[in-house]
Amino acid sequence: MLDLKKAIPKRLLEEKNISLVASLINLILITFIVLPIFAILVKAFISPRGISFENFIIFWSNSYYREALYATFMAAIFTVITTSLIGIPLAYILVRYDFPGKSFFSILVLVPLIMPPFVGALGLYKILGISGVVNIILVNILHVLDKPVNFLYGDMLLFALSDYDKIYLPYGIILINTLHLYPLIYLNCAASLSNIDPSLEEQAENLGSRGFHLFRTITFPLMRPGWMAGAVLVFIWTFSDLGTPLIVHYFKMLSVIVFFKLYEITAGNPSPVSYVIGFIMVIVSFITLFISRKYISLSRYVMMFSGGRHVRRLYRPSGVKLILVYFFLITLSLSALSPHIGLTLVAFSKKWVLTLIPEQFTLDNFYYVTPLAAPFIFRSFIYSLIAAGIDIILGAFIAYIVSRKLFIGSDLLDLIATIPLAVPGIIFGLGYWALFYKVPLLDPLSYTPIILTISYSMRRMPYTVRAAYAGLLQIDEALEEASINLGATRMKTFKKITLPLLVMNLFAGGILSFINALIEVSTTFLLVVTDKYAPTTWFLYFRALADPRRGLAIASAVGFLFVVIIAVALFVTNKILGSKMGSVFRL
Amino acid sequence: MVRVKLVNVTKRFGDVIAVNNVSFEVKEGELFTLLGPSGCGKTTTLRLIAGFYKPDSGEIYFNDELVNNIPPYKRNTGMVFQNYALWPHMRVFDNVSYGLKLRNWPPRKIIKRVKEMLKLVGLAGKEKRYPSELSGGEQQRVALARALVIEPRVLLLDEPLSNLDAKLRVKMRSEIRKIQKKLGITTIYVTHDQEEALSISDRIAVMNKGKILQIGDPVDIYEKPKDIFVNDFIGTTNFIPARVIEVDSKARKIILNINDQKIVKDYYGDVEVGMDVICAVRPESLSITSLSEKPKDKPFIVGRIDLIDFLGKIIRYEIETDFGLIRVDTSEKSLREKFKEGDKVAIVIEPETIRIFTK
Ligand SMILES: Nc1ncnc2c1ncn2[C@@H]1O[C@H](COP(=O)(O)OP(=O)(O)OP(=O)(O)O)[C@@H](O)[C@H]1O
Ligand SMILES: [Mg+2]
Repeated sequence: MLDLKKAIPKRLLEEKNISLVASLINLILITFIVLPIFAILVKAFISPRGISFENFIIFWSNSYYREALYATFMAAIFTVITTSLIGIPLAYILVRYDFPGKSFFSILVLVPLIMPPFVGALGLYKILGISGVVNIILVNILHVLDKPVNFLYGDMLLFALSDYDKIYLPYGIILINTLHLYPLIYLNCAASLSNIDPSLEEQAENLGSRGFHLFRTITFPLMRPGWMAGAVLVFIWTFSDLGTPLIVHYFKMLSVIVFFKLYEITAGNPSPVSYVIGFIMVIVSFITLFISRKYISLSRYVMMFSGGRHVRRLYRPSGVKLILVYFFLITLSLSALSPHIGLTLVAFSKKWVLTLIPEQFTLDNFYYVTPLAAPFIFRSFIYSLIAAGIDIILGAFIAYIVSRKLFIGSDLLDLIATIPLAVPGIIFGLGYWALFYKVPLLDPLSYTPIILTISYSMRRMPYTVRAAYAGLLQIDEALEEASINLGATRMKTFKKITLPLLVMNLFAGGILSFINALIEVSTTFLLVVTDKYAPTTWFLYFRALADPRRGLAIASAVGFLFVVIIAVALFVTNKILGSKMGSVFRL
Repeated sequence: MVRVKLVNVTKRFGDVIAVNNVSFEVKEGELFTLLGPSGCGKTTTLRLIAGFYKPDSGEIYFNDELVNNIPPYKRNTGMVFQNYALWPHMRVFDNVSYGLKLRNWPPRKIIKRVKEMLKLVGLAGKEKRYPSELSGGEQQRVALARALVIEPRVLLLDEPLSNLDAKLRVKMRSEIRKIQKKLGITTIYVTHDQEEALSISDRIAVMNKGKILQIGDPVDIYEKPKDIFVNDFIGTTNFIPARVIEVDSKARKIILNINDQKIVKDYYGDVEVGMDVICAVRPESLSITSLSEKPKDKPFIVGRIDLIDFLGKIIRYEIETDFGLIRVDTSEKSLREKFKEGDKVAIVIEPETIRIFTK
């Protein structure tokens, strides 16, 4: 009885504190995630003559913008197709087949994840670019082509709606994004595929189905939720990506237009076209997310059935099939590695002109670039560390509040905290301009470090939230068991098990936030105006790559440093999160 | 229609022998049940017949055709999985018509046939539902309809009722039997529920640890279990220890000592004087009387009533004796007033109802 009396007021107090914290967090998230999006949606309708569709008409009446719109859609759609054509068979092979070297390939096909995509594009310069290895082989050695082709930059007329409406397929962008993004499809599909109850497929075999028919009618529909989740990420990514188009100089993309129009905002006269593009991006992201949600929720009832023994379906391919499997995996691994190889070779080369591999290797590029890059790298680390710190704190609270359903607003909190997964970085950059321009302490022009750090932390918050949430779900069980068995030592269990587990998960999520802040391109490029406050990605593009003499080499050297940092960070997180690592790349 | 024959079939998983030298023959149109406890190899046997596993040794025949090397998608069996394995992304109609589409039926005929089949299993009008919108019993019927619609050579049912509640189980099992008899389809039914097996089957094979212990019709299995395991597994059984004190091999009779009383039994097995044996008696074959009223000419055991369990038609007495707990079933209502829990009673044994097993 006594215990109860003591416990009640304490608990009430606790709840009061928690709803205070929850309200504060809601306020932060609404200010920095929800309102900027609203600002874009609203500003798209504001023209000098009041509220109207005028901005949309301006956008639509310009054929260049229209073509950019088409090209952007084409890039996104075709990248979804190409990544699916790689990712789905890959998932099938690595989940369902058993063959020597399987675990080796399972790791190798994930290498694109350790490379920021715009660095990947850089690495491909000397592989697929105009003076790249592929061109040297095709033109100088095999004589298949008369003159070199830039595989990275190019586009292709798909069809013309009219003289002013031509739909181009930007295959360079598609190629680069495919190489970078297929793991998203693969990871999501593999997760779905290994969750399928084998009896569902056995039943189809029992009724006479097999081979591709079985895959088409049963297996694929059952893994579709996973595929959808991956496809949404790929689509939104490609649709709004800024880094890759900039690196390969393909400017007919919506994101690039927003970027180039930025000076109009900083010059004080807001560019209505940017907000129209922002509007389109927000709507497209939300529609994609909405459609996918409908399918993704299917995954819940796929696992509705229980009972029966799981006999894993695992085949040992042989003969021609085995050869095809190896051919596919080796080709894919080599392609996936080519940006890394290209980048490394360039970063360590003295001179690399028209030869298959550089003639001389050197550390000069690093010696040259390090002092120049040092202040930028330093700032990057500061911004990213602070952002990751904010994420860890927010993540812990949000996950705790959401998982324990502590107050009525917790569902809303959950929803808002997932928005950054679907909303592109461009939107954050643009929205912050729309909302905070000339606002004290938050103005991107004069308070760049503050707003940049905030944007990083908001964008990457889902990592810590999810990692902490996963930890809390686990802890729940452990605590239950402990309280049943040991009763008295509950506090000890909390200290010994709960806290360390949560801390480890938060730490792992924090590392992911950190590296993603480090390699963030779109918000960085949108919010940073001078190199006084600029971080490394900005330096890489606007300073290193712009160097007329050895731009590519020193930019590659910086890119190489990125890859090393990411590889180390992912290795550490993988050690901590283990098999839960995959969930970070899923929707 | 088809006979199914297994000859010395063995299947191993690593060190586990899941199915050990199993042979049986299922006649045309018969409902044949594999009955046994969890892990005894029932599902494995069924999956061998469906073709999901290849036997390590032995042969499987459909009529006279050896099917060992025929893949599952060519065997034309209709399997109903324990979890129904309904495809969640397809409506009832698409689930049921799947096999027909694969057999290139014209759409018009498919619609007609699916309709008939759904009517047969009592699901008319539910074509457009998704599996998640059906109750457990309805899901079970969809699975059955899907397997039956292709007119399989053999119907294979793996614990089809285990996910249903008790009442629905009883209803569905008589429906399954009705449908099976109506279509005359050879059926192999797997269950671990002895009551279900006794009620539904033409013949039963009792399995344990991968081996078949006895095959027979339900009455045989219940009344003449050949094996102490079968006796224990089928129905409720009391086991009372006894010792052989005389063997008359000419007359094939033995005399046993139960609780220091002598009884005479026919016996054909391998016994010798001094051997300890076990007497199995069903609860309904025993009766109880007060100590004073016990008959002189029949063996009895004294005990104290531990629990009186009113089961509806019958009353079950659980009686604590020197030989452990003995259960007695009776439908005599008069006894209800006569004895209370804690009373001392005599359990009377009818010698002819005893089955003797060596250890
Ligand atoms: N795919 C498999 N791999 C390894 N062992 C298996 C496999 N399938 C079955 N076994 C083993 O073989 C034995 C028989 O299994 P089986 O599934 O046939 O039993 P069952 O009689 O159907 O049991 P239940 O009533 O629990 O379904 C068990 O010991 C089981 O663990
Ligand atoms: Mg089974």
